[in-house]
Amino acid sequence: MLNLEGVHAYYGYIHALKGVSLKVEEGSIVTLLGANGAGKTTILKVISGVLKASSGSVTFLDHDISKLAPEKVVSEGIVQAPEGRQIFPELTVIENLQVGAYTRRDKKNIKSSYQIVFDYFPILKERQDQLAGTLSGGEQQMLAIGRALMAKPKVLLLDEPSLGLAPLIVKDIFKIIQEINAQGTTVFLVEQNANQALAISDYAYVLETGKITVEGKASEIKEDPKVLQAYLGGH
Amino acid sequence: MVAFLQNIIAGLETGSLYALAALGLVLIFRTSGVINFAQGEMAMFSSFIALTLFQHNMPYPVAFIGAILFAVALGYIVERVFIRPASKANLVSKMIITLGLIMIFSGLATAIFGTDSYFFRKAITADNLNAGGVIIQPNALFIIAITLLIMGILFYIIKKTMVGIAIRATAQNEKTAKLMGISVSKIYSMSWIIATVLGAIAGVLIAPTTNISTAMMMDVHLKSFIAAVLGGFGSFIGPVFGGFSIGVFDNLVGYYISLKWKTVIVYGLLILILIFKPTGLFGKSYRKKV
Amino acid sequence: MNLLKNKAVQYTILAFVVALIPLLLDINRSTLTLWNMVIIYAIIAIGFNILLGYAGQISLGHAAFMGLGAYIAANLTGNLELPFLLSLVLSGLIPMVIGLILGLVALRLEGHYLAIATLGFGVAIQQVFKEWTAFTNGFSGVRADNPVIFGLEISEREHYFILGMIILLLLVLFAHYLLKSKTGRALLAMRDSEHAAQAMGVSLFKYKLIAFAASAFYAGIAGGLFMHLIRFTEPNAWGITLSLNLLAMVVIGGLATIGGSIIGAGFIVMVPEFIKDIEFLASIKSFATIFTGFAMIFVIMFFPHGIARIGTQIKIALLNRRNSRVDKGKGGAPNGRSKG
Repeated sequence: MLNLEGVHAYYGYIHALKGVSLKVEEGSIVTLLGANGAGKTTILKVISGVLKASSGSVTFLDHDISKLAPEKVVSEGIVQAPEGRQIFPELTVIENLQVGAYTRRDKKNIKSSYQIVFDYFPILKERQDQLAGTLSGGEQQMLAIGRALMAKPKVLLLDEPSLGLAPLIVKDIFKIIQEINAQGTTVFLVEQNANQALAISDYAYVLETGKITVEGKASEIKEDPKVLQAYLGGH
Repeated sequence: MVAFLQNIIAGLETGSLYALAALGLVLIFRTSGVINFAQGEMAMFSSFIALTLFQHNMPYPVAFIGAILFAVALGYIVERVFIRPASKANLVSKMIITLGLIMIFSGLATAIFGTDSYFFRKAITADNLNAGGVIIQPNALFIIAITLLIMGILFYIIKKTMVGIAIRATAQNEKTAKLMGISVSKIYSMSWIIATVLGAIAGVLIAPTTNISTAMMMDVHLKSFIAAVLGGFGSFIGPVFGGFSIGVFDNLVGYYISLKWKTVIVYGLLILILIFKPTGLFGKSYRKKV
Repeated sequence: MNLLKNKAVQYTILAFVVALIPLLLDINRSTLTLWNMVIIYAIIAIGFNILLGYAGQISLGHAAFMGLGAYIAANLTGNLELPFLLSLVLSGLIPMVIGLILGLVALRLEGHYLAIATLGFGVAIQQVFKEWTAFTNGFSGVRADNPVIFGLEISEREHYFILGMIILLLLVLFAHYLLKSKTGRALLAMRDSEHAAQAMGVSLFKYKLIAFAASAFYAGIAGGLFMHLIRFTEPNAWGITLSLNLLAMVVIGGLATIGGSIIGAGFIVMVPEFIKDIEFLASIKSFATIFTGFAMIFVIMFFPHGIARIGTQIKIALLNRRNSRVDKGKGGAPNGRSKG
């Protein structure tokens, strides 16, 4: 469904991605593992159109999206819940969700989307008129995911949803990601928390300094001794 | 008491125009992070368009609308040609660009319209009303009413509509706004257009008081800055409050203290605000949770 | 031979050579007035460049400091009959003190607030010039005599040019050593990154204040010299137009270079003169202002280091292009400095 072929990208003169190829199949959850600075977020930036690949191709449903502006990528159905949540602190919870639906043409169905988001995250309904900046970290993460869902994405990109959250909340959030996927949304997950991520994923890639070094079924990657040592902290 | 009320009304009249102009400044600042020092000159230019149309026997409303249409085009062009290409430049460079625009617009206005000062009619020319000794010009009421109406519409847009939410989202976090599918460049264009129109309206409405000349907006422009500082660049309601306050304060100082030293005293007020409340009366210092 | 490589020695030799040109050539008085104006603007521009180019702080009120210098010079030599040189020093020092007071308040503010505060300062001081007639004689303006130094009256433009050049040289040398000192390095560190400078223990405020005071001093001296050159002034000369021209000088000439300030001053003085000679352009009123505005925007967008460093900048750009081609094959040159 979403394909990257030999993607190179630069930050100024830093060669951040050195020929990355990966595939996200429809209906699956795919995880991208990697240490800080490996280039995980860069891949998401390239997919979202924030950073242009200097060479290589990015295709979605068999057409090229590598030249599209970020807002067009959203209209295509690829939506991101960015690293560090990046909610709009001075908008209310409900306004944040409204921003998520910005590109939607089917205005009539937006109401039902709120309901879907509130079903996943009941706490957001309780806090809908609060300023988003007053939410706790976990609630902000829920809002970031909910906001992305409001765009009715075909592919949901999640950048480190577990970052800085308590283990119990992380568990909840991963469970909900699984539910979202079960309802038909493809998920591309970028994580450092390898254990949890692999547990819910179908397929996984490992990124090291701009290159994919390992890939395979999540269940197999979990057993890979190299990955085990580097990302699973000796479990 | 009569004199006092008289000054309050006069203050609200000019204050409402400061508020409009200040709102324009803040709108641009909040979305694109630029202080538009050329707003006054752009408004002056639009006022000259109204004057030119009026001199060519167009009815007043047509002249007014002509100025607004011109402002729409002007705001759009300035943003596209001068501001957007510099979107990655630092704060000082962006300021320098809008300062350069002052030179361009004041120079162009002199070249096209000359250095003379022209009378321009009021919107409403009906006879003055007398309320217990206080003389009220219908035009003053009209100005206050129309600016309140414009601000009301603007606030409705900003608070309640999708566009308004997108403007606020862009103001808070441009990168994420893009990721959510908001066309940030459209939001920039739009805020420059709206702000330029606000300036133009202020210009055309102040013209009967100042006459139309290349220097007509100097005072309004500085006062609108002070209004924005007083209210705070961080909110939209702040500059409106600031504008009305400066208008009234300015008139009271001029009447009770000294007409000559009014500007200096109002400047003293600016310095006091900057010392004691640099974020303005409505400014919030928001701390992001990490 | 090493002595010639010393920048200070170079400046000195250059100044003396240029100072003598009017004596050797037969140049008419009005042209020499322009040359003198270049010197005066160069002085204020160097000071302003310390503030904008090195400290990265903007001011829209420096015309007021120059005006203050002019009025002070007129009053001190006229009413109080102080000697010219003493009066000139005071016409720099008094604006400097006022600059220090303004700076104490305004420099605590972030960029755009500083611009607004100084803009207001400029307008307010201009208003003072209009209304405080005991000091300025209002719109009727004040006059000043030719300067007298040790009993010699300087009435010829050639001689004034030498005087101006000596003062310019002294101020260039002062700026040169100030910027080479710890202060200069601190200013540069601060402009590049306030946070980093703070982390290194640079007291930002102190250095901003030094830069602001120095720029007010230079402006005041320029005002004093202007007063004795033109020998008349009135309030309209000291408004926002001059402050913008000053900004244009420094931006167009080159931020953070002494030479650039002088080039910029030459630009501002000479552009209207060139335009005068071209009939079509001369027919457009205030074409010089329009042109200067465009030039300033053009320079800040495409040559942010100004005319003084255009050559270097092009060289670097060419080198980079060649390198990046070698690096990345056919890949487009990536721009921007976004963070990971």
